[in-house]
Amino acid sequence: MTRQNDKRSGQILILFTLFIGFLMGFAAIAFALAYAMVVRTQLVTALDSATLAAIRAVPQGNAVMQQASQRAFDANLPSGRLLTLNPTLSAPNVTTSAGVVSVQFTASVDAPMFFARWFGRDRMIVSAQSTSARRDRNVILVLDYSGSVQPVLPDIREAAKVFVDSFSDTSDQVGLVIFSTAGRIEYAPQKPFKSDLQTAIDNIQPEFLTNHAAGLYWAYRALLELNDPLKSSKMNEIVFFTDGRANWFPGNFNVKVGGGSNQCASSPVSGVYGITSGNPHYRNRVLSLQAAASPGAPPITPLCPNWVRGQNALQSIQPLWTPPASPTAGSIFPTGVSLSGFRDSAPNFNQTDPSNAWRENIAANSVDNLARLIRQDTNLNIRIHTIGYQGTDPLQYDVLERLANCDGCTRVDPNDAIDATQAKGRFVAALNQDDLLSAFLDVAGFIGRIVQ
Amino acid sequence: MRQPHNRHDETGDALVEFGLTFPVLVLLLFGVVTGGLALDRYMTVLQLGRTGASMMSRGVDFNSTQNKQLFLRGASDLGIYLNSGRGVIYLTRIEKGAPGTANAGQMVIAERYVIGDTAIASSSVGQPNAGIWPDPTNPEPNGDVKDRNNEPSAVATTPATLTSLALGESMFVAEVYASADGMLFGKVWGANPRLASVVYF
Repeated sequence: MTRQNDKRSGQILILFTLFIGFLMGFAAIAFALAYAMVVRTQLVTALDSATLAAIRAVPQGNAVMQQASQRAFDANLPSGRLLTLNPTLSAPNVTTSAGVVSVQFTASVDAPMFFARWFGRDRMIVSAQSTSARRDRNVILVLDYSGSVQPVLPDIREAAKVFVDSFSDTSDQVGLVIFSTAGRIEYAPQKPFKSDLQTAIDNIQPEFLTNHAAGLYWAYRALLELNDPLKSSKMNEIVFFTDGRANWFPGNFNVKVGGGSNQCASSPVSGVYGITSGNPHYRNRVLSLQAAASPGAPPITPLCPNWVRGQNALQSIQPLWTPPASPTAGSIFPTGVSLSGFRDSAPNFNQTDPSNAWRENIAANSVDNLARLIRQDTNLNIRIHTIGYQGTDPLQYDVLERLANCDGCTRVDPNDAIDATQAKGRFVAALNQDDLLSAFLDVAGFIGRIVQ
Repeated sequence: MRQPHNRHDETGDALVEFGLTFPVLVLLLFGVVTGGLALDRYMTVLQLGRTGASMMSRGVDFNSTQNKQLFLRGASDLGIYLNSGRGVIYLTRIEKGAPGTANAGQMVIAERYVIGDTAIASSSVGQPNAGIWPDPTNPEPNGDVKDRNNEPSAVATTPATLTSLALGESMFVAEVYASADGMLFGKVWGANPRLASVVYF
């Protein structure tokens, strides 16, 4: 009896010793698994980073893509981070289908097992797989080539060419629209585009006045006329650059018809309208919406030569703008574009001496309404980005921010300016000449950073 | 009848044995709890960094308070809030300096958003002078091109493997620093214990 009691007196320690062994074993396994989860999280982060880097590098080709992805992977998971060894990133598996480029990677790393090495296991291989996709881009670059860009034209050309170069010659389609008093498609979107488009940019010569709506109109038309059956599944972008205030606008107005030299041959007349008391050459003209093709040549044929405001040449205003009939573009805007809008001034052609503000308000309303109509196209889901250069004219922040429908725009009331139901774009202001390249690169980066 | 002497000792043995094993068990318990919590929070820190970099790379606008709060939903465990809390998050966009400028070819901080308490830690990417990026209290136009290409303090510090970007290409960095001060045995890690994650997208 006594001897049995003597044996019992050490049993707790013995049991504890046995128990602690099991407990430590379970704790070791739990810790190793939890640590492996941490390592896997880090691995997945590095892998995602590598995949996104690869997707962003698609326009630069496979070799650059592989280098970019490896750099990103190494930065996020260098050997030794979290006591890991042998981080390995596979070669990219690139597939293309229906306007979408997909890149897939697998990666692995050896995670430490800590206490589990007591059981003969000191490493655990952790692996993960990641896929990212990039939709091809259809991009229309819209450049203001009015006379006021002359002093900074070399900088604009350089910035525009770098911008163009940031897209893929093999999968993206990029085009160029230019506008001054009127506008035109200078280079239809296509691929490959880099060489020819850069030449086209070099050939731009500034001339005449500013008509924002004409530029936007031709950009939209270029996307509509683009023969690409997959374009509705691609990213369709308009990048709009201007240095000034619009003082011309497109319209379709009832005009006085007659044989006099101040009157039009027929009514209504669709075209671009200039109502100015300044430059006598362009005063009170109705000109064709499409600018002539040769830079530097007299670009526009007056539809109603020499009609004179104040002599009842304009009888009434059609509030809706209907573009000229065209097999592909005649029904672009079935409901038209109002000339009324966020700028207060109502269009009133009966004024005998319209101020600049009156004219600019109509032009601003026109392009703003046009942008909102374009974004309503649920087939193309177009985003509009704007770049403003502050040259001789102060920037029209309100117009440019509204055109972009941008997040974070602050110069106008966001509640009024931003339409949450429509696609958001980017607005960048270049406040001096040196900022032009940065501004174009900023927008290129914004477009490039969006991945599916 | 004489009572066995060692019967009296048995009661004491149990007490002594309990006294020997209890501290070990307590240490083990606290170690497991602390280690588990630390790993859990570190996972949160890692996930938060990944989410922040991912959101930025997809164009989420962090000027928006709503977007910041959406992002911070993942930080509730860490006690990080918009302008305060037990941690700080730096979200940075880096680009290549434009040709012809003072910072040409260098990695330049183009955008920066700060969430939480900056006293917890400073950014390892760089600390440009104020006014380089949009200031939430004094908003600049979205994307307004400031003088970052000529500002020496806007030059970013990045890992050696990430010192080259193409013109127009951006890199997004999310830094998350969470204080471990309030954690059990947090002081064991040092005077200013914290969990950190830096993610490059």
